[in-house]
Amino acid sequence: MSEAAAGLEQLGASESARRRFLRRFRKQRPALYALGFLVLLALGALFAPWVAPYDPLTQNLDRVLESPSWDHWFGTDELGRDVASRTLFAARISLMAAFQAVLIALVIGVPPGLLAGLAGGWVDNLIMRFTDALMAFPPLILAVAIVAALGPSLTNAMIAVGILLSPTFLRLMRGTAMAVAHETYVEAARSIGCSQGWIIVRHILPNVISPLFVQISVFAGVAMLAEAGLSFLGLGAQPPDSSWGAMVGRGFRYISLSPSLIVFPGLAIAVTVLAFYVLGDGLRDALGREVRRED
Amino acid sequence: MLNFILQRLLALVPLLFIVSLLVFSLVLIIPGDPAFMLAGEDATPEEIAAIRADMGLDDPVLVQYARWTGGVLRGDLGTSLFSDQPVLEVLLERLPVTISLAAAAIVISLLIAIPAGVIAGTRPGSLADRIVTLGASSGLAIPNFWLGLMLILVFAIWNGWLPATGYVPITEHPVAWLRHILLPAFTLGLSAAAILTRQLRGAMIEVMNQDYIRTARAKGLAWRFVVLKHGLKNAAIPMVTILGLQANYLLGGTVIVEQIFGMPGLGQLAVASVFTRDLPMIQGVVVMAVFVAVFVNLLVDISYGWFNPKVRPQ
Repeated sequence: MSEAAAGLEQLGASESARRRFLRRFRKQRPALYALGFLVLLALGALFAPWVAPYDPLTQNLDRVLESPSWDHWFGTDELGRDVASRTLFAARISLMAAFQAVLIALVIGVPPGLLAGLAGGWVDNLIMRFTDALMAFPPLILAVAIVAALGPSLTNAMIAVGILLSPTFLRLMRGTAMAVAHETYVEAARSIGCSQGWIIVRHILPNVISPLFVQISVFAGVAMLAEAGLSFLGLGAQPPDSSWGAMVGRGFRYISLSPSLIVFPGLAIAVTVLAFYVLGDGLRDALGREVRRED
Repeated sequence: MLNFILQRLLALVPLLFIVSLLVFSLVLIIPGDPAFMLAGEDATPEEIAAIRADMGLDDPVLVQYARWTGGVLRGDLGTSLFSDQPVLEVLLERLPVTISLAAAAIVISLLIAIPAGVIAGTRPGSLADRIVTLGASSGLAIPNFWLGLMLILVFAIWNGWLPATGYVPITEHPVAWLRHILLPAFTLGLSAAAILTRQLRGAMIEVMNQDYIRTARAKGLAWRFVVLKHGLKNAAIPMVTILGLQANYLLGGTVIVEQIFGMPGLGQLAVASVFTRDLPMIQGVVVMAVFVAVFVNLLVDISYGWFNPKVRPQ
């Protein structure tokens, strides 16, 4: 480290955690590009009806399974619908599904994680044994089984993915809660009569928020891949709704006639998932030593 | 060593108990009346009653659970609602396909990860390292079903070099087996290769900075010898653990890969059973998959204890 950088680093000790994070994050070029891409994608999806060149449901049976051209950048599908417009509209479903799955994982994982970490003893033991058992399942097979029981739909698929992702959040919360619960300042808070709720909100949540954000970003990518896989199999998004995975699944039937049907939605998945991963890596680096990778 | 193995086996008892609870409870989370849901929309009242009797859905939940677990312990996983065959029989027919796919995927992932990880890990920061690191990140982000379809497009449809679908048992025709398994195994193994590469790269960087590497170089050993004998050998130990963890993901991945490449394995069976609402079959697939995954992890644990006496109980 150069002297100037060392000086800056020292300066950093006195600045607020948020400013230090922002300063470090601004240096993470790849993560900034990834964030930019994700924001653009989200805006594109949000304003799809105005941005998309065609209506995603309008059929044109004179122009089916066309290759990419000036009129149709990504070609047309088996019903003559514009693949570029459909890809943009499908971004809505794919992004929402990933968001939904991560939210479900947080709801399932965070409270028992807190409970295990704070209560300790047999409560902790019981919760952790369940977590271990959940992690013993091959993930996609468990997801398929849950969808089988609940019935194929995008929401049910995302419940399954949320369940699969929850153990990591649970472990993260438990670890932080355990570490913080034994700090002197928490003992002090407890001794002056602060409630458990106050301790959670004031002391535990601020400590866990940074690693949680890193994990959320990475898991948004994982959830998107899982949703794409389940929708590809026909167990996720159901027609007329279409996610990128479902588009690839439908395109599969016309693979030899029109490869562009699967190339573009697949690329969209890969690039978006990569963006979530890169953003997660950047957040981790910007948050510094206090965050360690939880795999 | 025997003690160590016994201890590991004992630790499995509570795990498998909870797994059995979770798999059994799949019946409980079916919305509405399970018999009605499983029989399908146009089922007659007789068919619904038959399913209810067959699965004992009128008994108290505890009785149902005890009967189901008792059956599993005796190797009776019930009868398929779709084909009326015993579930275990169907599973055993399909298991070799899935195992050979997963095994081939592991071999391919090692063939990719070892050279890539060594090259990147011995030259951190170089162009080769950056290419490997970017490749590994992309390997994790590419959906495997999409990769599979692209491979079919290039190798089967456009060039006709390899078959797109189907499966031939290795015992029947080893060359045909290899030709059929190559694309699916690569599809399944790529993300494992990416994870292993990242792991090995990190371990190599750490190992290559150790004193014994400097000593080996100082005494004039050939670079290649230092890297392979002293570097890779030590960096490879943590890879065993990662491989065990990957076994779970690979088994999960077979669900999609078998579907694309038309392979009659457990994964394809699971997906087909969702559409036929064959819950006993799905429960069977899950039990079998967990069994295989737990067994592989047990082997990994034991081999780890074998290689590294420090983790054995004193």
